[in-house]
Amino acid sequence: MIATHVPRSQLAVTLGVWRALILREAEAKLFASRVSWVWVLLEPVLHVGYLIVLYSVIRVRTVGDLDTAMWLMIGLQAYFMFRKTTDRVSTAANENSALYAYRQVKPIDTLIARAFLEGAMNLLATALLAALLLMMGHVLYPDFPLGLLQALFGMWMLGIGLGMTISAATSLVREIRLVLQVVLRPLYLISGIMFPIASLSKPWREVLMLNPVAHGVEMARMALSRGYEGVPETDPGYLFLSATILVLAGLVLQLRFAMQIAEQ
Amino acid sequence: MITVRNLYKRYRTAHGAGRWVLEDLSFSIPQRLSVGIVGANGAGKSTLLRILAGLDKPTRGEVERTCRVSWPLGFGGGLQGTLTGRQNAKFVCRIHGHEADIPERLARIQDFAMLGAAFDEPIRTYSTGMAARLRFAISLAFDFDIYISDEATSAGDAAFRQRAADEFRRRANEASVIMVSHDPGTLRKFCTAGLLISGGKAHWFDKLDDALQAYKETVPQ
Repeated sequence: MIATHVPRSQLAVTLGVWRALILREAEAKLFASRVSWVWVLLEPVLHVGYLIVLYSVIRVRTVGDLDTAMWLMIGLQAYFMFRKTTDRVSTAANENSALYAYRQVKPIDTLIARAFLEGAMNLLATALLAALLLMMGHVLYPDFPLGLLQALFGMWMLGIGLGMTISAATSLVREIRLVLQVVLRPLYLISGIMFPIASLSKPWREVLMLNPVAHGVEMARMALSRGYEGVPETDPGYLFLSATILVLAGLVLQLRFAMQIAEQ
Repeated sequence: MITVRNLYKRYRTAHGAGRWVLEDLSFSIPQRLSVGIVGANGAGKSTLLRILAGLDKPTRGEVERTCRVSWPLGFGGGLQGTLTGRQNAKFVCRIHGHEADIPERLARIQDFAMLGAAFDEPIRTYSTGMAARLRFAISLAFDFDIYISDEATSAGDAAFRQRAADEFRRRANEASVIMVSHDPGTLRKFCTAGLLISGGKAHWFDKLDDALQAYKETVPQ
């Protein structure tokens, strides 16, 4: 007999489950079809690529003293860090419901595993994009590398928090997902990814900067170059405060409604 | 040993709390005693299994497990269609904390499931019987003290069912099974004691045949 009779500690069980879930998610995501692993990297490249073409057509070479390609790429990747984490985390509990057949696996585990995987993939895609732009002659050397990581981390946290909250909310009231689709879609437009919020007048800026995502996008750009003239209202504290509130709210909801989320 | 004390269970429905599915159940299942659970459809057999396996919490009362209990083996659940049998088996090894001896266990699973080359094909290409065999083989790769089976062995062909029964007989000294089945033949093959669930109550019988007899009497003619 191979088995040992010593029960594992709860922490050991949870870490084992996370590891198994992350490896399994990675396998499922990368090998779902012949091209899925290519698509994971190609999708952000194409997205950034067509925006760069768009901007080169209207001949904008720099935005706030930052190379346009860099400005677009890092803004988009910061946004994707938030958006993709939110999307993937909010659907994790439902898509993994088959796994609750094992009592070691709780819905919250599937959410956390997805968040780690999304974050890692996004960093990888960002690195790939930076390398591609470098080959095309756009020099990327962030003046504040830690600031860049901080911005991406903030966006990741925001994504987890919102994802956990949405996941719990939609399992209680299914119709919320329909409302969220409408509410979240304009975020892409109002977070200052395609146009500089700094170019707007102060009253408009103040309204748009109520959105924590816009703070994260600007923080990432400011970390690239100390010469970049970003939105003066940018405040890392605001991003992290929003993210922390959402993460705590999400955790509370996930724990309180764990049974309902597993049963949906 | 599984001890159940004053267990109540009801589900929340769209219109508030539902009826009591299980009401004030108390019993204990000693080690190495295989129990067959009988009862009509909707009597609460699967609910009870889920609670015994730790997947669901009782509304009131408690369940104490002092041994290693498997997940409920049955139709559906636990396997991801896009991954191969091998990848799914690996996942189950990992969540049970057997990172070190995965190859050894995979060999055991492959051997018992007898899926041939299909072991490396995505699960979604499997037939119902093949998936059931894989699920059953995965569970046998771990040395649980009690296996919980929700009609699991009724899937698969006759040859596989025989092998499953033989495997349990071989392990009779160290493992037992708690199973739900509507087939008295299957129950007799595996179990010695019986538990009848009827009207939210549980009735314990030391002999399976008595439970089957009592079950027959509850069915209106």
